[in-house]
Amino acid sequence: MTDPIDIARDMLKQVIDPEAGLNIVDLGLIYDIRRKGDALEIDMTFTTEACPVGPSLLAEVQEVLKDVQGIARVDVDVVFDPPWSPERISPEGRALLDG
Amino acid sequence: MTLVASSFLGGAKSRLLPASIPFRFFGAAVLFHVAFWVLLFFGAEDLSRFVGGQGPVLGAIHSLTLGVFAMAAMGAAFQLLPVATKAPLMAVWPARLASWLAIPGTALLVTGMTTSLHELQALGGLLAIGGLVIFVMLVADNLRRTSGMVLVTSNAWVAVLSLVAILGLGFLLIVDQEHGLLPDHGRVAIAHMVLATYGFMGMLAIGFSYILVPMFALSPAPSAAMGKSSLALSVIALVLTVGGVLSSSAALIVVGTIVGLVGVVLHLRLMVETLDRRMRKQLGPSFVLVRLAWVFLPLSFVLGSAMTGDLVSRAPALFGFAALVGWLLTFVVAMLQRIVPFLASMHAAKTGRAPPLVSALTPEAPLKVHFWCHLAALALIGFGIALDLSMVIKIGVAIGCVGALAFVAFFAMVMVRLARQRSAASP
Repeated sequence: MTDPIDIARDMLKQVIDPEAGLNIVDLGLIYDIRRKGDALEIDMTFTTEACPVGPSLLAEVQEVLKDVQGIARVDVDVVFDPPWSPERISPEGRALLDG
Repeated sequence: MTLVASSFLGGAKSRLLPASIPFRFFGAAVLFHVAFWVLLFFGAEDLSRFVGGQGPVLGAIHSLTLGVFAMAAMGAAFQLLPVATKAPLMAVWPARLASWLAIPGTALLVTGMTTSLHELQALGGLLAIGGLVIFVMLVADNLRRTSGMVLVTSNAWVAVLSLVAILGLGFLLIVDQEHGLLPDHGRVAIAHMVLATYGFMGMLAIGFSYILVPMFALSPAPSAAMGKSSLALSVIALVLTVGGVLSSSAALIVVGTIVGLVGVVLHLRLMVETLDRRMRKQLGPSFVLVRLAWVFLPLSFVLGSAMTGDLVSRAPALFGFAALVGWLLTFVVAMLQRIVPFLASMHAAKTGRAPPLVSALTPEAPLKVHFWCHLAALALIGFGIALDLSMVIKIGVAIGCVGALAFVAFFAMVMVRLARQRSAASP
């Protein structure tokens, strides 16, 4: 895996929503990851606009992405349009929740 | 490397209060929960015929409403509202001051009511009112500075305005004990109780449900349109019912109750739909309690109507039991057992480090004890009041007290786990 977008997506699986017990990728919180020059642009959401763990998740996103090779800058944009819905949870995430 | 989360991070840290602020209120709520059952035990003989007056039952009721509900509301509102509204509290020290006034004030008020010591009651009442006035000012300021989360903030506004009215009526009731100002103390006391139960706590419980239920169940956000309809009907119902109580108009009370019941049914339909669309299938005992509380909510309206027409014997006690214990207490303890470890997880997180899983901070054993004790207490006390069997009520209350002690153990264990996480995270 050499594409910084794939690497970033994989690394973001280390960030766990402490209430759901799922990583933020399988939870469907990462809407988009784009590369723009030496920067990564990430569109991210929370399960609710009032999510109390939001700031802590953002801090963790910053922490896990700080060492991605070839990337000098990461912009995380928190968006609520479209709002998160449970349909965004991945099949792997659903299996974990059901278990 | 530069990392930016410009649209959200600004001010996020200031919205997370020091852990001691929410947890002091939750800790007080947990202890007043025990006091409620202990006082109710001593008043069990009078419970099924209780229609007001000084003594252990009145002390127990205020240990529940001011001690458990208001403290839980203060802890939750101080921490969760700034997060929901994205506007930090104007300052932290007034929240501390509110606790220093409201917690001992409530303890003194409850003691004064239980022992019929009016001076103690007046002092405690004034201190508690002072704490709650600060709470009102902080929350109103926070709500004033936000335009988002309309459903949550609208419910919170109704709760705040109801609290202002409750505090005014409460002050009048305390003064009336000594000076006999009011033409009908009982009517004002009922209006005070209706506003406290459905206006203040009810609206806060319903407002927070729109955030907490989907968050814990992993469901989509509830429909704002139906929530607004429910809120509008609830406000009309409150005005009609309180107006009816103060003017002795049974017709107004009945119409208000029916309108309120329609509003509540809309809210419950919305909540059931939200849960039906959830991704987390196993919600655990806390949501069994939430669903049970939702059964008691409309039941309290039916019993309230029956009280108006003297249709059911012991209707006042059954109404108070259904509204305060069946609905609100069941809902509040169910939410506290999710919120306390959740907030502990937030406070255990250090910058850039993963917070512990909420499940890792939740001790299950004391919650199981509390769950079964709470269910048994509800069943026994309900039957005991309906059949006027004080021994059954006493057994139910004793079991409820064991459950409350288990809840103390739960809270203490979460605090210990939080302390361990924080010390482990320290450099």
